[in-house]
Amino acid sequence: MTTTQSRPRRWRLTMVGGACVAAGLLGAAAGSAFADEPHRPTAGKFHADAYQADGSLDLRQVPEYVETLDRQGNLVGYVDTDRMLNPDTDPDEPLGGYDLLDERTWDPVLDGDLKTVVGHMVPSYGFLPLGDAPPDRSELAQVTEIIEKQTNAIADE
Amino acid sequence: MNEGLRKVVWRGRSLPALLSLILVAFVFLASAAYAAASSGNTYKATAFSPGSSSYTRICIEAEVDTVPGNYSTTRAYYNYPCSSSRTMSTGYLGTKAWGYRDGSYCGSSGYYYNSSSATGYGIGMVLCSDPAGTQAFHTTALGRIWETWGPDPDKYYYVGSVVSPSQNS
Repeated sequence: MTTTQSRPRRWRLTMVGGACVAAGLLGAAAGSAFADEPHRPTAGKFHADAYQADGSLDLRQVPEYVETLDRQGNLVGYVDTDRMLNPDTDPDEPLGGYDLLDERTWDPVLDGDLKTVVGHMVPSYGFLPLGDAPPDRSELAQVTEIIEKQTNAIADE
Repeated sequence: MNEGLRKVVWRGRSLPALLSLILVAFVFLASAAYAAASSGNTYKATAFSPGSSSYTRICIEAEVDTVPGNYSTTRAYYNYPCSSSRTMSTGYLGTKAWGYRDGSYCGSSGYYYNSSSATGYGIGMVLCSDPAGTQAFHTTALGRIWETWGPDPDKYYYVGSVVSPSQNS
């Protein structure tokens, strides 16, 4: 009697154990498959909530590649947000800075595949398609400069 | 009526990056105390220059006004919170503006630097087109100073950035 009752129990335990092992193996395989899957960068617009009420930018609401417009407002591609906003990626410049038309200051604009360069964002000019001649200095945006001088200011060293 | 600094956690590995991070943290903490100084469509942030022995404080303003104009200003002060101006030599103050329309990037001004000694230096330009209909515009302003003090002197340092509130048209 004891023998006949314990056999199905052992069988059930064996089945459950086997199922657990199989599930573990499947899970490991699935995990491995996901781990091998390349990271898909996010691309799109800054979410409206990215602009915080305190004047900060919530980077969790910012895609890795931001939709980029030309001067007429047409979507032309995507710019690497980190490269665009991260001051650590700016080149070290001599006192007075590089000329705006120096290509070291330009940001590449990528196609929808986020790999193919279709042009550059030129400071104070905007989108320059790949292969086009650099803009003439007269084509740069009109800048209003304000130099403030306080007469009671303390001079620097 | 608010101001502050972009909360940035970049993957910097260098000392300047670490200094920037410290500055960011400081400015963020200091922002509440300085909030009353901002108004309208302007935001301000305050930061120390990286070379602590120079005691220069920097205030940065981002503004979007006269839609869709983008404005960025960097001002130097001797004290905190930015009330006693400090004159900086030619090229020492840098400022840069980015423009956004409805969350899309329109372009940047690039860095501009003061062409004569100044306590503050600002630029304004139109970076985004303004088609018919209603759009939301933003400006991000970034400040940079030429630092002659500190562990790695005689170079430009990032001192903070702010994002303007939305200006609709």
